[in-house]
Amino acid sequence: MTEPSNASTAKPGTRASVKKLKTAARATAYQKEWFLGLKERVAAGEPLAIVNADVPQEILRAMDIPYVVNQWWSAVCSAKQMAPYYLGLLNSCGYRQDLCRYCSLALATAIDPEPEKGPWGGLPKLSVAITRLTCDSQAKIFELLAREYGVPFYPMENTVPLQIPDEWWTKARRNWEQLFEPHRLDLMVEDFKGLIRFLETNTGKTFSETRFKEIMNLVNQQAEFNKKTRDLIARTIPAPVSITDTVQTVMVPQWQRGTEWAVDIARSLYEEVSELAERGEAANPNERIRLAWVGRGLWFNLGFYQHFEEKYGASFIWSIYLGLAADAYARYGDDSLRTLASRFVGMEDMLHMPPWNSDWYVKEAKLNQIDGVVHLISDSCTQGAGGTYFIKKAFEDAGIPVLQLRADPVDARSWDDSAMIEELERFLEERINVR
Amino acid sequence: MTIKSNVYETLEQAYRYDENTVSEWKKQNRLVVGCIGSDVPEEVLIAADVWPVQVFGNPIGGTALAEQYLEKGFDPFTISQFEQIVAGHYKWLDRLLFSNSSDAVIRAYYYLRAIRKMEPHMPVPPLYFFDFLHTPFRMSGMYNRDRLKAFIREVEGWTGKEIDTRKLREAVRLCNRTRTLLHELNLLRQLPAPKLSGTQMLKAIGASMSMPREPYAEWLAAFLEEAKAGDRLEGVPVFVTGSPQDHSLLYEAIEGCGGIVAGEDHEMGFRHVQDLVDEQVDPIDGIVDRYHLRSPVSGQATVSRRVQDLMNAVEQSNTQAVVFYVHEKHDAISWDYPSQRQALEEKGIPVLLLEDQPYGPITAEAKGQIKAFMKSVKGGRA
Repeated sequence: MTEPSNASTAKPGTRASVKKLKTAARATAYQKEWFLGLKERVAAGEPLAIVNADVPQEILRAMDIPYVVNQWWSAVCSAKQMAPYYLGLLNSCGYRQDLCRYCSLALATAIDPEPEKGPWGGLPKLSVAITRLTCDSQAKIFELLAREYGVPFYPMENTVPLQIPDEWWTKARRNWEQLFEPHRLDLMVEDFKGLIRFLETNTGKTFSETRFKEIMNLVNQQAEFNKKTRDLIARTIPAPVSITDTVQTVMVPQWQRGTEWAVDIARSLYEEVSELAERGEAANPNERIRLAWVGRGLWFNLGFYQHFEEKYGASFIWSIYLGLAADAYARYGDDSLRTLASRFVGMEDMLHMPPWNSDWYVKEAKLNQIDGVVHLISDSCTQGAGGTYFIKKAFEDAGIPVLQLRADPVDARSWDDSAMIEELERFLEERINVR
Repeated sequence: MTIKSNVYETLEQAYRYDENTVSEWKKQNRLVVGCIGSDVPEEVLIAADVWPVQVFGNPIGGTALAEQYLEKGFDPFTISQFEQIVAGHYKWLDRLLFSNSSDAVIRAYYYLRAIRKMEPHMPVPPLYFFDFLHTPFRMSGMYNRDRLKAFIREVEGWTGKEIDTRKLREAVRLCNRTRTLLHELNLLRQLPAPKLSGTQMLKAIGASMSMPREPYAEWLAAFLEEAKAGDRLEGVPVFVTGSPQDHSLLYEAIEGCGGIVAGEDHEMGFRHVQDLVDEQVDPIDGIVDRYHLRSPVSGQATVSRRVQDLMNAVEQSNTQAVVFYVHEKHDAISWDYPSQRQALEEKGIPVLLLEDQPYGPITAEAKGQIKAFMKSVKGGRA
């Protein structure tokens, strides 16, 4: 989620990525423009919410409430190389150094004595904080954050499934009532109603059902373009684009889900990739092997991937970001609120729970003709790890070699660039036999 | 002097399950169900004539097998419990039952479920998840009622016998009886005249998790009478908070330095038995309210709630110092700690933080810190 910068001047381990797509440049440029516009709205008296990534942002959009996504902010802070400073602030307040980092940078921002020095002038004044209780630390981080800002806090519940469905990705779009147990959907709908009332009360904004239906439709349009892009990359060898371009071009509009702009970017991405494919242009004309990056993006070092393209013809062509955008978001149904619940109720399972995630990873690897997998594991986040043993086993049972890299996606302090490069080079040479 | 008697020895031996008792129970075609997480409604299992046993870790055992499956972000207590399961030490269980009292427990359930699917040769018993929510809202309370009813139907399916209201009420009475006895016993480790050590109290509570409930109640009642007649103990009353202690090594270390552990809030101690089920209401309502509305464990609570609960518990237990013992990777508690410490220090209550601690034997360094802390607290005898 960084802005383009001169990669050659960056110190090792903190490279920005060099992008190829015009759409990627548009998306990246837009996020600063959007953020500055958001600050203007807040300065003019509009409310502002901070939400965790798994909160149903569609509801806030239907109420025209500006919001910032916690993990988006972490990625921006990290890409701006500010994470070490913020994490140091938390440590100085008595919080352990190895506590969850991906989700705590906004809290650090809240205790910063010079908040205006944050990315793009820092976070504006918040009005409400909303999270889902998908890990033990969420309620704590968000309550502390809300306390620092003096704003109300809404925790959303998280339920656990008893059933393991086969091939969730074949049912999620239209047959989600078969995929998720009814009592889980019922509870989430109740929780959404509570959230809407909370927002009505605390922001003075109103919920528009008409607008909400339009938003749900726009999200589906965006997801369908993402699916077409994923499918196109999957069948095209060499790949027209790598994750250097797709991660941000998918994720910036993902946080803008439900807008015409987000649909336009998804469409533009598909069209640009199509044109490249038709012209036979590749992200890496020297593509010899195709790699998947499993896990979160290496936000402070998005240029890391490009070294291996140049040296080995090894292209990272798949990440969870486009894969999930293609398979996990589209939902069709008559009851809009329940349909929205079906988007979120199982997201934690799909992302972090075996065999939901491991089965899907293998399906995606086969579809994308992947030769090897690099799995980023963050030891400071159990949630994000999501069954590494089972993921590795599933890939290896499918005959796909896996390298597990241990690093934090936002904390550059513990990143050893040369050791990581060496480990990955050894994997390519010894496990995939490329030289 | 701590109390020594045949009665206490029986409870102490039961602190871990007794294989002979298990064997006798199963010979009668009765089920034994293992429990992980602190929200398993034991009343339902007892009403069904099923024996609920807590899955303990092994404080002196290795965890090599579990570490193959679990990431480094898991806390070591959960890892040790997981090891006991995958290594086959609980393969005699008829079912393994989880409740969502922490993220690590939920994930352990998912991983064991994946093992049963992907590695069916592993000795993992059939699993069930009791999905119990903790936000203090009506919505969660109603969801919990539905889940409890579904759980009752599930257990009826295991045994082939109906669990009617009468059986539930009887089970509630039995559980309340043992809890009430433990409340009386708990007072005997506190000022003004402590007669029972925290170590003995911890084991007496733990025995309730690993012994059939009816004989347990009888042994406990007898032990209570013995304890009442015991001699007064000297020592600084200390409150223990932090990670679950399913063994007595920390308590022994503190009490070996002149303290008496007079209270704790972790899920393997007094919290497990503190709240009663209201016997005057519908048992479904009473059971849900008991588990839903009591003080939540750290993983299910906000920081402000944890501060409030700790301050209340320290006051109620008449303790003069607080030891935070936090296992490595037990993140939830580490988010609570700075605010809890501030609140305690504002009341003039001394605090010792032992962070990043292993599960199992107390390190020499930690023992040294405990010793120095006890010296620094007024009245310490170390």
